[in-house]
Amino acid sequence: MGYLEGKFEENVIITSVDAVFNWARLSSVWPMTFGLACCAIEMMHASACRFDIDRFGAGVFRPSPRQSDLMIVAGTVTYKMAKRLRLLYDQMPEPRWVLAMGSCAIGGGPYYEFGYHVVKGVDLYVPVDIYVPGCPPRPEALLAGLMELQQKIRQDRILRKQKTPAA
Amino acid sequence: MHEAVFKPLPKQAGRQGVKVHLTARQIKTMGWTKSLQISWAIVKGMFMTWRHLFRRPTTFNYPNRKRAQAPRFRGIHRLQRHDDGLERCVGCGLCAVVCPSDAIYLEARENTPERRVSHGERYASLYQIDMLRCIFCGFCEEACPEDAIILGADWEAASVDRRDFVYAKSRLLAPLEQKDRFRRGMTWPDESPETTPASTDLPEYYQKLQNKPA
Repeated sequence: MGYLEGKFEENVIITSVDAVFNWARLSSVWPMTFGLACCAIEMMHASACRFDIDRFGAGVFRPSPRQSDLMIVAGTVTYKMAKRLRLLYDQMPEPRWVLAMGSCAIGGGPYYEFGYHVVKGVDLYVPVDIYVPGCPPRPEALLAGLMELQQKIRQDRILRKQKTPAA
Repeated sequence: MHEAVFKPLPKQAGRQGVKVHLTARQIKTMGWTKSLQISWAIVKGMFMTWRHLFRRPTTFNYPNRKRAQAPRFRGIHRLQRHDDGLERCVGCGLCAVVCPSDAIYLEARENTPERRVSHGERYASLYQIDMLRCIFCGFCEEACPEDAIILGADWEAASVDRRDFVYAKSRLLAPLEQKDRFRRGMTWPDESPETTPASTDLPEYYQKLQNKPA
């Protein structure tokens, strides 16, 4: 939206435009192919015919960060991978979202204490929008997380001014 | 040192497939039998597509329907109660010790005659599980000598805030009226044998108790 973003007070037209934009965004959350470990198997399961993530408009797994809106960090993120993760995140066009899937991506999981090579939570590198706990989360849990994310996108303020935090 | 000898592969027996992609020259010189063969292949393929149109869809309508859990599914933990409403947990801390990802934190406190929370000497005054770190391995359930903690059937816990995931006792403890004292497929040994499931479902310890003559 560029120049117009966050410039307007709330009124009927502006809120309607925001609602339409949010609806469009949440109905086509294209994820990036980013499977790192066993969580990726569940992610593939969610995108296959039985759980069919396409029903939520998020089935178009893109091979390039330039075409994707959502990064599903599915699996154990090592320190070596974290730099690539950050690079890929930076290459994604706005608006972009990150879904941390599984214990390893969220907070290190079983590698929390003694894993010398595992990032203790992917939110140390990229801002995470939604957390889906589980080891690995079942495909329905990923869908539930996606729906939660869609609820979050629905609340976005695009043309409207940002809410000032309550003092 | 000798050179490797390559023998020609034996000719594959069996039917030759129909080659559909042909060059313009091949199409011109194709006989009518060949063209009929190709047309028939397309009809056969479309028939398969047609048949699939009337099958039941494979897709599971997830948010409207929930899949039945396996009886031993390990979901979000529950702290259990005795029949009289007292907590099973005695605050020994074995679950916190055995936890491979160090997700459980508890503090124990002495029971007093005025305020009795559990049957043992102590109870867990503070019991927290970090669901972000938990890997749902079920070691806490195996380690617990009082069968106080079980892994329940819930698994929907996605949230946008990290702070939502440290489950305190208020969220973990089974409500007083709820009597799901065990996981499905497991039961206490003193219950009537009609409601007791097959002995293979029970842990080894309870199997021994059952097989013991009274």
